[in-house]
Amino acid sequence: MSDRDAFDGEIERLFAEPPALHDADGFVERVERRLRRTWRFRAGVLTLAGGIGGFFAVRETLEAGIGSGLAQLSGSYATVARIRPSGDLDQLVDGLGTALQHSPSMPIFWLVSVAIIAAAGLASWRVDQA
Amino acid sequence: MTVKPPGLNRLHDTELVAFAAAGGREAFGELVRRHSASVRGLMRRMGAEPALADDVAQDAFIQAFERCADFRGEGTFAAWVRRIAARLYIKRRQKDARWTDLDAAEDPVAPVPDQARAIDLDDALKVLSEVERVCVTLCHGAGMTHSEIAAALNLPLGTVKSHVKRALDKLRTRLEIGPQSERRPAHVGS
Repeated sequence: MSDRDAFDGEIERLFAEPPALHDADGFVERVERRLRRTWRFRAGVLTLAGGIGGFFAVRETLEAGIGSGLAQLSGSYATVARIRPSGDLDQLVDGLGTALQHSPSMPIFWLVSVAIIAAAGLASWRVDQA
Repeated sequence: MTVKPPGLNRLHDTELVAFAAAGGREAFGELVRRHSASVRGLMRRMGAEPALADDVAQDAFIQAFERCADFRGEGTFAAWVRRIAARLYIKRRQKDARWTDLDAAEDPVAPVPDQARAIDLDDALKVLSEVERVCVTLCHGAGMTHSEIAAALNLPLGTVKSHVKRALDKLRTRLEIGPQSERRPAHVGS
């Protein structure tokens, strides 16, 4: 029984000793190269996904009539600007509320999309640098 | 922010894993440097050809990097990667042939031992059938339990146990040939 235990211990020890293999540095280099490639691929996919998402966001925005929306928005803010010199705070708050009420949501969506694309681009660049 | 901890070679594996989990490729490179021989060796001991062994070992390290956050530190990092590699190798082999077919394979003809040098484990493993070799390596090299091996290889638990036992008996005999042969030089020369 003790022989068996001693042999088991010996087997464990032998298995724990890695065999001498050549090209250890080459192997590490290949793994690191694959890691870099994988991360670049992911960064590319992330950027592409952001780009496609942004493209559709812009297209949807344009199709929704951003021109008229912006005109309406600038008109509303002009009202606010006219109120501001009067110094009447209540009027100013009311004016801002009106401006926001009449603001089309699409420009905000568009701005958010641009911000997401920029963030995706920045993230992918940083992932690539890591 | 790039994760570049200073003095990577002085850090413990668990610290390197933490850096790697935060995206530190350099920290992970150090882990690969430390444990590649162990993982590549395990693959070869399971019977993989050198090219396949390296291929699977690479896959295992890539998978380990992606799953670094899952490493709980309950065992060693090397043991964790070895288990990943072992499972990947089994999957690869299962695509080629069923282990039940391997189970039916005949034992290889044991090569005549080279008496001029000590017989090491890697030589001794060559006398085992493939399934015995895989079972004993998974058990003692990858630290898997008999039940885990049975599940991974899709073999009955009793079969796995008997493969491991038979493999150990053969290894025992084989690894003891060296000292015995020195006592019996006439047999050596034949």
